[in-house]
Amino acid sequence: MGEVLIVDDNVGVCRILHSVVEEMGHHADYVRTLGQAMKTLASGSYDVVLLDVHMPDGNGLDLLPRIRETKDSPEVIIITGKADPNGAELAIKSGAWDYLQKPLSLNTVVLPLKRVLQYRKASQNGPNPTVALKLDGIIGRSKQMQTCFDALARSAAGESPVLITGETGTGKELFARACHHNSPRSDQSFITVDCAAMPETLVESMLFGHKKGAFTGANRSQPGLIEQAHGGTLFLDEVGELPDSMQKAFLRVLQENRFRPVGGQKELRSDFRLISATNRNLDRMVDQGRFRKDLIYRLRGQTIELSPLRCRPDDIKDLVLFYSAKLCERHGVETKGISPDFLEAVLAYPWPGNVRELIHSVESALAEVAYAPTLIVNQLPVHIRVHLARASVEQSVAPNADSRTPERPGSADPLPTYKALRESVLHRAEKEYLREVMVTSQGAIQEACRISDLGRTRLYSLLKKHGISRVGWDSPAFSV
Amino acid sequence: MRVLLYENGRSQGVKRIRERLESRFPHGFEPLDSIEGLVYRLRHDRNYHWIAVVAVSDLEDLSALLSIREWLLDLRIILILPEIDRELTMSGHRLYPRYIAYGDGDLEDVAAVLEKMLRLNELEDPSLGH
Repeated sequence: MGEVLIVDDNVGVCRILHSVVEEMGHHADYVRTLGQAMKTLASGSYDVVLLDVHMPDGNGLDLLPRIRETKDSPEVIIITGKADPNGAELAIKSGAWDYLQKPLSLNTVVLPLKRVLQYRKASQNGPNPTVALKLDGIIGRSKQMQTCFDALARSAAGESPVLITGETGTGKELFARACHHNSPRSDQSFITVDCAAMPETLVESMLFGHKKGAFTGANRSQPGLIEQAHGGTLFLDEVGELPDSMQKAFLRVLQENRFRPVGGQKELRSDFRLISATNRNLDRMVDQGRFRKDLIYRLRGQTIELSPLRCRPDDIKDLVLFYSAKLCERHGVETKGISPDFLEAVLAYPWPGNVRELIHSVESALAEVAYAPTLIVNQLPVHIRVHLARASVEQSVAPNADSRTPERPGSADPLPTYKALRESVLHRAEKEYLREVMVTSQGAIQEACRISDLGRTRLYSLLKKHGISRVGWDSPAFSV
Repeated sequence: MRVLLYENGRSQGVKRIRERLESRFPHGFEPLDSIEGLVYRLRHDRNYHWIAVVAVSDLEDLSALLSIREWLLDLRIILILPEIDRELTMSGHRLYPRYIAYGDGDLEDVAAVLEKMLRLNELEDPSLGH
């Protein structure tokens, strides 16, 4: 029996939904404010929340992420009297199971409710799908990554097409490979089609293959990638770049599992599992007439949306530690420690190139560090240090904005007061100096006191003031 | 240097591959003729925008490359196999190449794919221009 919480300010709606749920053989409670909803969720145990958007004490959509984070992570079905496409998009992106519009008919409520309760039952009875996953270099403990791992586990177990989306460098190809390696087809081939790198003139013959004499230069028959993928997985990387003519031809392959090599008389059959990836917004491309709507439906059996690294900072430390150890092993050198300032810097940087940029920055730092035992911030690539330095200056000057003199004519930046400027410059210089002292002394306080000519108490107080750790400057501060 | 060419001197059509790359890419590419040389190069100086044209001579050569697969995974590989052969092709896919060509065929396709990859690289990171 499923447990359902109804959250709606209209008592009539609450009563109707209550009786619908009870007639389905499940138990329901209802509350009429968001505040009551959070209290009830904290004390009770629920599988599903039917959530109204416009509530007397706030907007239900704002509460959705918090509901998903409560102890049972109940699924949420949004019910609204004023549906709009943006609200629907926000709801689904925030993790809602479904988005329903009032007035409700019996079917519109019963069917999604039935599905969601079946799903909850299956996921509670089945083994944790992420436990046995072979992830091969995919690192992350953040909530976003856990969601991706769950989606990966479901995708790998099934046969329907998978679409992986995310910015460049988020690891779409790694997820595609992991999906294949965790699937029943893992002992067969994983065939990559780089849609972005294929010259338009080659696409057809590359995908479908060709027969001898099919065109000038076709001096022998050649099997295409679709044929090679038979029994295994076909991975269409950067699928948004697939030329229009090929979109149509490929759609037919997906519909019929059959294709004809260029210049061939006979159709061939290929049984492959399709995984696609893109950093493009395919829906927008459809609106612009640059991508076929019917093909999107075929690609999007299941979706895995990978978050940019800047949205999941909780994973940065794990990534640095994992790849630092892995790269040290690959290069045959001893594992390096990570200094607190290095970690502080990588946490502060926004990583526009995502995980790929982070890995290569760690590799670049390892190349710089040579035989020293610990990675320090100065070994990060210059463009990262420049970014951080600029951000630090902007940040340290900004809080003093109130005490600034009026803006200078013709200048975008108002001139700070002498006092504000002096304090900000001193603060930065002091912090940099202390870091240098700790690096040079490798964290030995006696040595740091000798270099700086400061007393132990004064040094401790300054380190505390600047949030600089006293440990971790000599050897691996964070065991790997 | 943004294009590596691996070939051990026994690859089919290797002379043609070299000539074609030399004529189409006057800015050059870096030839490497041994697995050790390739690993050394990747160990000491690497960039994730690199493209590797890997011309395999036979199954043994391919097996040697697969044994250093870890080093090659983040490169964009254009794989040139000596001939159309199912076993070779299926093994070749384990390097996750972005394109597979055959040394006994018309290598114009390799040049065309490489040109497009280089253009994409420049769009991704203009600082890496020739």
